[in-house]
Amino acid sequence: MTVALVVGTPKGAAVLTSKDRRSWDSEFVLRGWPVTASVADDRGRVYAAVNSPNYGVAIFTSDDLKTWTQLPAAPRYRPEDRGNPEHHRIVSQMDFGGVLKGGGRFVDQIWTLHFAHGALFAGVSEAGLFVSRDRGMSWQPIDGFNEHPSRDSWVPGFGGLGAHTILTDGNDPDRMWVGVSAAGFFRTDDGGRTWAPKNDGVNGDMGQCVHSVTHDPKNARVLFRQEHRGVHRSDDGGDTWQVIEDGLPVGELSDGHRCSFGFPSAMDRRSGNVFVVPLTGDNFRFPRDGQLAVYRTSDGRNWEAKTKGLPSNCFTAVLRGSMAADQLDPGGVYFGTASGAVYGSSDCGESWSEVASGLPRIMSVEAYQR
Amino acid sequence: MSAKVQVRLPPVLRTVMGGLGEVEGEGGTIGQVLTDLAARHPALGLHLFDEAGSPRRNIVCLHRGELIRAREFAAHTVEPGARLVMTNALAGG
Repeated sequence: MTVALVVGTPKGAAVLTSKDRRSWDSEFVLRGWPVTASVADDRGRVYAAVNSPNYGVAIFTSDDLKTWTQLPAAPRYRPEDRGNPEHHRIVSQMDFGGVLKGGGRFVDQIWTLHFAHGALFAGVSEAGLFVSRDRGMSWQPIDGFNEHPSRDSWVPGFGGLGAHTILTDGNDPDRMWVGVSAAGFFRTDDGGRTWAPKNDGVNGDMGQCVHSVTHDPKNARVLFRQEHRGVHRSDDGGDTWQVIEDGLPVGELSDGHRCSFGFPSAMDRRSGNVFVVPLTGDNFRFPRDGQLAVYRTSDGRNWEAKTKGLPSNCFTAVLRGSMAADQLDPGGVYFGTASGAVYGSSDCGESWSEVASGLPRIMSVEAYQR
Repeated sequence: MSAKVQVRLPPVLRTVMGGLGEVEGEGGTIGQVLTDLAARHPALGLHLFDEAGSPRRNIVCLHRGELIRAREFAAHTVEPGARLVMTNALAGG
């Protein structure tokens, strides 16, 4: 079995492949395109989202991870859709021509791609959700979400107003979750027509800023959530949440709240192990004392640090889309740093080694069995 | 008057066209040429026009040594056989 990692960066994607998960071959593809997300469909075709401040958003596909072809369509809002002024303020530094002054709503980045039940989904900023039922040849907005009654009250996070997390229920095509920074976590039970916020039990003193959520689609009621304000678990599909931070490093946020801050989360579905990469609070955003550490929970509640093979004196970060599991046995887990290094473990997080280095800032990591 | 015009693509857009560095469009203005290109090559069209149907504001074209900005595309006429060099506005250091 070959494992392929698609590592998205602002300058293209590194495709890292290995037959033994020890030695890795590397190719750099989609050169010149910021690659923000990728996903594989049920036929093994990989879709990679790109964006460019000059040339907009698009999706490339590949069957062999070498030759990439751009799809003729991409998620796009309607010309009459109105944008969020605060989001415009955040992203306007790249709006050289002033198009945002018109007040429209634009797809300026695809944050996540997701495939389930024969459909492709895209979570984008300005926050919204799109679906393609013809493998990316055309895209439709999911208006039940994009025109949510609470939309006017959505507040952008530090990186803008982005829908960055999509989860689906393997047993129920009508149930789905979406995470938005900083509007919170939403669930639909009717195929996307209506959406309810699912943040009960998550500290919301400063608003809801979900950073990532992971789960097993076959056991979809159990969710693990890395929030700006700590790590949480839900056993009822997101209806209620409990803090689970035993063993995690807890730090002080800028407002004094103490919790375990971080961005990515990933699950090895065979073992049920979940992984997070804590950072020292929202003011610092680097590993505690410079020791890069992955924390793992095996029982879904208690965490232990895994540092073997990971560097100390390390003051980088791991972004929300930059960790993935390969779902092999034993589980392989991979993450990329904001300073361009990729680390991998082939023993479910017990030990780590550097898979690649010298890459640009890493924005997304996905692992595929080939 | 509609005329065939050659358009040189910037390197990053050549990946959209399978490595092709130059494409042919038709039109009497730069705006018409780009609209024609978008119709012929929808994947390329995504990069030329935004959701509102406006040319992406950071695209500029060189025509006979003159730098033409996106807001001028609709009015700027091109002659038959013209060659446009498409690039993006300078940004950054």
